[in-house]
Amino acid sequence: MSLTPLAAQADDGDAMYRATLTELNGSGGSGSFMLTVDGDDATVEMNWNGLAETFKDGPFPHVQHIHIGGQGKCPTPSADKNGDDVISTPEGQASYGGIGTTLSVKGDTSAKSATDITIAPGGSSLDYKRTFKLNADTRSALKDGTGVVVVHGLDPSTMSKKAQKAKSPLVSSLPLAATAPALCGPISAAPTGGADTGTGSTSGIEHAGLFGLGGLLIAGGVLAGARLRKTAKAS
Amino acid sequence: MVEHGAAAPSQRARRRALSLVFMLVGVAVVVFAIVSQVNAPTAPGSAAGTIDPPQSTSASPSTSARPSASATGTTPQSSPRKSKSQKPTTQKPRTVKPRTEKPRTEKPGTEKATSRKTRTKSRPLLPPSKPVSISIPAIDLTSEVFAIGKAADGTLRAPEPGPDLNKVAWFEDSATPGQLGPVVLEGHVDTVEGRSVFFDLGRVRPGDEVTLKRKDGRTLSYTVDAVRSYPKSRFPTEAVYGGDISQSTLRLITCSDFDRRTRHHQGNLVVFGHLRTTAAGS
Repeated sequence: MSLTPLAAQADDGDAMYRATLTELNGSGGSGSFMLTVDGDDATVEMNWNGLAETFKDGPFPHVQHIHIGGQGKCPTPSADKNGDDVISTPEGQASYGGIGTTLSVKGDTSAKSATDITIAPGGSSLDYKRTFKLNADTRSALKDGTGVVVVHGLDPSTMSKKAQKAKSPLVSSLPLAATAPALCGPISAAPTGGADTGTGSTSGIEHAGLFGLGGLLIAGGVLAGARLRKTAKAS
Repeated sequence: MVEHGAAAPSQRARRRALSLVFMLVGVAVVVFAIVSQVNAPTAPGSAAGTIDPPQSTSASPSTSARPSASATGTTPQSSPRKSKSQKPTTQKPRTVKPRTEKPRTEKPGTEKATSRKTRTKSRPLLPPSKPVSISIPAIDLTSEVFAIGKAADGTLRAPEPGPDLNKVAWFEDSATPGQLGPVVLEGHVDTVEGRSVFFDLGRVRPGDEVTLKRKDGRTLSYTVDAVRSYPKSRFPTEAVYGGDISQSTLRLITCSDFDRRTRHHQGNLVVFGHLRTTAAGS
């Protein structure tokens, strides 16, 4: 897989990351995210469902990214600063930061393609697997635990009247609904190694001390008995 | 007789009694020690079963077309304990099979390929809610569940001495029951106090049922797919913390393979399962 054997020896080795995606802005969706690092490459697997299905008679585009450089968290409702009942992408940035990697279905995966809906997945659900070169910023954010997966695109009918009419703060040709976050999940590294779930107390012999004590007592009794018999014989 | 005479009869009797008492007490102590021996935990019977098998029902168009119906079906409120009679007939009975049996489709590639082809859409599941208790009827296990995280060195913390030592722990960065992805739970096989909550985990077999109760009161039923033991040095991180994330899966982890020389467990036992579908659960 990796064409760069030297890089594969890099300090982080082959790490694995996971995120559980939960709804933002009442999108009703949920999902799961997995990223495995293999040298310079990252393989992302992603499944989500329950998001807006159609947009202007086509599949609803859901741009999705690994956000970096924030607090590594998903925003809470208090992030809605303008009171339109929608946490817009900029409003969420204090929590999850800016864009590190675009999880497109083909082509560019850099932040430059962040709002390119032509290479974004579409429809209400996704079964995604893609291997691409992971950029250094995203890689270090993952290590720091500040990476957050965000999937964008809300069903306008679930939004307030005011928000329905609003334009996207990111792409003026799109409505707010198209770019507002719908799913969010902080990325964390899978635990390294196995689990330390035993002491071995039930393996082998328990109460070795008791066996020792019992053995001593028996030996003592036998010795004493033998001496008695000896003295008895001697007499 | 005469020389020893002065001390003789009574002292000898006392000595004899004393030696008898010594022996009796010694035997009693040894018997007690033998009786209080604990059997070593059971190792998994075989490598039978498949990790994260593709779910046949999710391939059916009718199921994926009505996601809400199947989502409610994932939370059977009717007694999940009836499961024993409901074990899928395709599962092998709980007999110990020879280890020579080849594990089927262990290669992720082949499994993935199948599941991806047959699956059109993964089903919407449930909003997050932490697990609060676990039950495995086949080994008479019930336990409270508490949340646990990673240690500073990046390893999974283990339940520590105190009130939670012998409870099952849920890894807080894993999915909650009913979300896509693996719900990861761990428990000690034994502790300094003796046998612990997952002592009998090695007796679990494919087809057994595991129920998880969520904080929101819902009870979800999982079916065991595979039971495996791995050396800790080759712990299958991707299969345990990842696997097929298009469905809700279950991982139960404990220690296995105790090495008497190093006084440490060399391996981990992992039970793999998936959320029971509507068809199998009703």
